[in-house]
Amino acid sequence: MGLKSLTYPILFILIIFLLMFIKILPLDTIPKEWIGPDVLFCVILTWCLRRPLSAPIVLIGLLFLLQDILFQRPPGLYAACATLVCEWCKRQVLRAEDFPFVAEWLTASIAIVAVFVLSQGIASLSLIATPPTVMFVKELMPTILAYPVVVVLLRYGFGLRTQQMSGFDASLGQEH
Amino acid sequence: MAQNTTRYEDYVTPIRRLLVWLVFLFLIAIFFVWRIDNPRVERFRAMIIDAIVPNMNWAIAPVTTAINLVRDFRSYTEIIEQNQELRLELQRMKSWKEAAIQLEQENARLLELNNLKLNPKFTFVSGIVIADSGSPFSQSVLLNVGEKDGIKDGWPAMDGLGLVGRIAGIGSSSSRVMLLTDASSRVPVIVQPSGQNALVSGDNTLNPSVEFLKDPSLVRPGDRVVTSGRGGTLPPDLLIGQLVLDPNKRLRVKLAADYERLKFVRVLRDQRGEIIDGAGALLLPEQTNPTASETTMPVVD
Repeated sequence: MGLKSLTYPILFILIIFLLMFIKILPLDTIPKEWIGPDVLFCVILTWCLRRPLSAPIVLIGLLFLLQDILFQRPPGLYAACATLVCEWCKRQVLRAEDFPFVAEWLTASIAIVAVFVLSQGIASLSLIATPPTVMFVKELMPTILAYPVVVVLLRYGFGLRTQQMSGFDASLGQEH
Repeated sequence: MAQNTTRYEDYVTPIRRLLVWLVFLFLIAIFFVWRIDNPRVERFRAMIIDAIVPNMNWAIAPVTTAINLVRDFRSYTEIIEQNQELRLELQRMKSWKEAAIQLEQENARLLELNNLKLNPKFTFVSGIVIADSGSPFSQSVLLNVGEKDGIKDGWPAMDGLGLVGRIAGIGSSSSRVMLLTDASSRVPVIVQPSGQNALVSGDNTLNPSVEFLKDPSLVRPGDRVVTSGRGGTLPPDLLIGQLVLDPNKRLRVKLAADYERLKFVRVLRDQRGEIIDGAGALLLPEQTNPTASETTMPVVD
């Protein structure tokens, strides 16, 4: 484990903390008509899909749990579903020989919808009053559309490239 | 490369899979503990937020102020126009102020004549909004006052004019105010002047809806909505806002509190006087009265 292999986890944690900080700023205390994209989830998805080997599951689980606690959601529910889905995303990338952007976006979209279906399903099974589905759709669509934008921003802002399969073996030796 | 992939699959995958399920079970376990013992986990949540957010205030406060400055700057262009309007409004307000002072004096005289005491004056603790809920699905704000300042769960929070919400969750130096717009907020109210009871229930929109109104024909848009104090959750006679009709002809409340600029919030110390919830030792008319009136009925006919 060199310092170099820690660069991406640290970078991602910093970005995620910054986004969480922005989210709790008391700028808008009135309910919004249009719910924006969940950029935090997009960033974590990008991390899982582009740098699957530097996205340890325990860390991702803890980050989601912290979000649940801070953002007044049922603690653990969203975190459990999102962590499972992120792990599925990582497996998709690691198994694929070739992973073009369209496949990546599709995987991300499935992941975004899956987290919603899973968490809503468990929530309604355990009889929690959930917000109406219409509100979630208002959040899901922008989130799916925001994914490529987040990818581009991370690509040109922080030089994040897809993990090359040739470099993949070398980093494998380092990390495991 | 194919060899390496199989090596990865063989050795790493089983351990990884175990780890995944452990993390998943841990998180789901937290969720079920929350579901079973909600107050304890919520207290734990308040503790964690209390440990994190007030310590971040050195960063939150200047950033918020800066962004609000930029927003205000945009409205500076309209400042002359606004100034004129405010002058006109001030002129109108002066006559109202005169009327109000006269009425207040008259009211004080009449109260004096009747030797009447209304509710004891409320005292309050002022707090600054340091963070919001961060989620579009729940409407709440975090204040910088908490248990140390004597805040208790359930106390009402007002801005200068109207009710904002009530305290739901306190840490040692922070407390959360659930706003009236939150989907789980319910407040028993009276609609003045008809005096009908209703329930103001938040639904994640700016104007919470009015429900369980007995006779909607007796109220009109523009009627005042104040808390009724029923159920003992909030003290009576706190202003909430005015009735409005939405495009679907449903009654809603236009909140008196300025939700757009929620910065300072007053938390009222809710010191209840004696609550009279039954007849108690009061003298009541005899129970035989109804039968007596029945016997008199034929005589009247």
